[in-house]
Amino acid sequence: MMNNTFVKMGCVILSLILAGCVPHNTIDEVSLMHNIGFDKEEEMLKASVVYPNYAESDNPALITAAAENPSSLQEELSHKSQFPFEIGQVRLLIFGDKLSREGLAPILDTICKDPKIGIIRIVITDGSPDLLLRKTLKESPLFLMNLIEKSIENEGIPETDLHLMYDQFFGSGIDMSFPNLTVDSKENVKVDGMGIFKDDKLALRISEKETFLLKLMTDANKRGVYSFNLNMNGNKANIGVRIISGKHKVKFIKDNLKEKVKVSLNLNVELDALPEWINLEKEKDLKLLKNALQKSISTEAEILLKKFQANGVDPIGIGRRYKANHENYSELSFYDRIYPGMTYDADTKITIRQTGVGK
Amino acid sequence: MIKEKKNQNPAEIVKRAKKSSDFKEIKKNVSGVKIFISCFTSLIDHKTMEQVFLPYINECEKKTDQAFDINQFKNSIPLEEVMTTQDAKEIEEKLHKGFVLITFENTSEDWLLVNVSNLSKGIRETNETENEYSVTGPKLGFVESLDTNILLLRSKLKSPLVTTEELTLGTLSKTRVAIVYLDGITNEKHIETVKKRLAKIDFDIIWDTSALDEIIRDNSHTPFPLYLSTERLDRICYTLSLGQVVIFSDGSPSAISGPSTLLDFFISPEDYYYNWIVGSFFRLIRIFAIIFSIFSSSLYVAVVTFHYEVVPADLLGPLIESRANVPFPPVMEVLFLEMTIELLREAGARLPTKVGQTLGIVGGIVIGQAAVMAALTSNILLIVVALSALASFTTPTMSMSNTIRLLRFPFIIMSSLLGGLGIMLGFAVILCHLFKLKSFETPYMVPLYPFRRNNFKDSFIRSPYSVINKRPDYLRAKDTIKYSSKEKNKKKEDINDE
Repeated sequence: MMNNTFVKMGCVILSLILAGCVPHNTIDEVSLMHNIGFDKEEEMLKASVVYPNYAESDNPALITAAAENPSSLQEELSHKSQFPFEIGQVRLLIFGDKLSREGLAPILDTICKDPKIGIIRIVITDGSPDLLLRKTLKESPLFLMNLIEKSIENEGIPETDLHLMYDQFFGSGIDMSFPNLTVDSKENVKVDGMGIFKDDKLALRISEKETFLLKLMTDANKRGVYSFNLNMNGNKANIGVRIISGKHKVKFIKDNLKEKVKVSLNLNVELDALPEWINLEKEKDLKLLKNALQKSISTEAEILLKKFQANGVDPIGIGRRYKANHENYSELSFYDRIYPGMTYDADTKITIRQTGVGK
Repeated sequence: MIKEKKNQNPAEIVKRAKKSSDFKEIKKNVSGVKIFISCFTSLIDHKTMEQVFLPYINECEKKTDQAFDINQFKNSIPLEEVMTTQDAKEIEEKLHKGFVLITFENTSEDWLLVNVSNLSKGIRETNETENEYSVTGPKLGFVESLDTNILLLRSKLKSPLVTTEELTLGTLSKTRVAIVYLDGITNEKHIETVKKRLAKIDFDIIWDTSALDEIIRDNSHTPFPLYLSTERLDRICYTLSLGQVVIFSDGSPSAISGPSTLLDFFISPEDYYYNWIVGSFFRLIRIFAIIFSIFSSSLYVAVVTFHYEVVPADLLGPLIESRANVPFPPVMEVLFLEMTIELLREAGARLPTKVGQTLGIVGGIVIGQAAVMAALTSNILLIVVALSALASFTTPTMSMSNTIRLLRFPFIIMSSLLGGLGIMLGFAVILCHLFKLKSFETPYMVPLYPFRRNNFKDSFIRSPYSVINKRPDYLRAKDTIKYSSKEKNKKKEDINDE
């Protein structure tokens, strides 16, 4: 009986070995890609890859290749390197403007079939990814990934990674949105707003402030700074408040045969820098400040929602929420008929949690 | 194999014994009767012989007035154990245990046996449990004498329930083997199984109780120890109190106890000497250490050879840098270092203690550092292998520690062939094997399989004494409750509360 099991196990193991189904990828004998930028150039797909040279030097190197389809890109790249390129350690995907407008589907389809790719960040750029990657070559190869990660954590950029992308791209009732990287006038790379996609094509770019509002309405993490113009007691100032945490809720209300979307935001904020003429110890000042902030967020959120509606995109996932409440939902008819006619109502409730040490 | 001759003539026994140089025969004349006093001089206690027995015989020699009477002669010998017999087999046995044989020429068919043996000769007197050392708690261990061991046991457990049964095993060694159990607590089935297994033995020399382990075990094709083999007195007392059966054998400083489960081997008596929170913590650390020790080097091979994608981004740099100069594939690198560690260990075990320490330093620091400098291994691997070797030393029982040393190698080979899948495959095989194992017909993986919820109280963690007051279910003890868990003085009287 004992021998029998060993023989059986032996057969299984032997067949697996003989089938040779596990290729070797010794860690120091592959070129690991850390950042990949994709763009379209003269009808060719162009990839720019940043790969680290851990064994030889500290600085990463950049290599570019062009091919007609995504599958031959990897081979094209490997023609130019000592070791085969491996995609398993990719941390950041950057899509160029041209490619984003033409559609990401061919690339996303290839990526989602590769089990080696883990959690990676996806961003777009308004220029060419090649340029963007060149600007960061002096930094560590993980610079861009850390930049995005930190921005998502603390600075008002909505969560974005491969798994969310799968959900948004393949799921119904929601559209993809990726943060936008740009090179500013002083040649620094910075995060600047977002790009909203319709299906796989870039449809709309939104500003930094709108990006934060989008984060407030979608993410569980709501950390970031919101700035607004305050007009109170005859004084005017622009004030920035740090939002620490909060909750959002999207509800539908039947309103004269039209669907009304009610977005309620419940936010906890921290005030650090306030002009001198506001005294929070006064009940009246506090109330005025709160009301002004609530009103500002609500109106801007409503404007943003209408902007999405006008452009026919839905990054918040209103369709998905609608589907949960309505039995005979169909994606096509929702976005054709119901979505354009929806009205919006945003309602914000602010709780001031921290004001710093008083004067 | 030696065939026991039946119906031997006592004269033949003496004849056979005379071939040995240490067999002596003295001729004496008592009351006109010629007597022969014979014994193995190496086995007897010379002090008793020269100061008690021989003077008495000499005195008898002088008294020539009385007629010789064997019974009177027997009763007046000033020694404790004197017997008459005609059984040749018994005579042979007793001669080899240090008895003196007295034969009477032409007077009596009876043979007289007198005990002048020296049992403690050649046996060390103390054992400080060097192999199963503990910081706190008693450091009393068993020695090579069965009688001393039973004495130690009885002095710790003074209950009348402690029962010993003795039998003789081994065609050449004629070793005394004792089965010890608690009468009325230990399930008879276990006792019966042990007796049946021991009775079936046909073996020449019982080297050690641990060797007995392999002869009587349920499945001899397994690297896992099926019975707890220990030299610690407190361990044996504990297993006895749970309702296990303990086997001692003469000439062995270790005892085995069964039926055991896998988790028994990771339990140290110290767990019970510390308070339960600290004890549980150490036990968990030990279990973690064992898992780490078995899998760490094979995981290194799997990750570096196949699954580069699971390495955290910040670790990539150091890992690749240290690997870059190594010319071998990861599996060769790991095997090289593992072999080095095993050699060090084996050499350390064979060398005298003081040389062993020097060797540890030479091996650990010099060889390790030099291997990295010579680009034979990467320094990350050096840390992994050294840590896993260190972790394997935390096992409180020697036999399980050896098993863990061995288990690492198949995992390394599997992981070099199939990566993470290989490790999983190997683990599945070992798990199936473990589930099949039995110790004295009791499942080895209790309480995991069969699942016994109540027995988890004293498995991965050591719960407070008030909770673990019952004997484990799998032992089927006849009395399941060890002690009542209720505290006697529930009212806590604080000295300051007045």
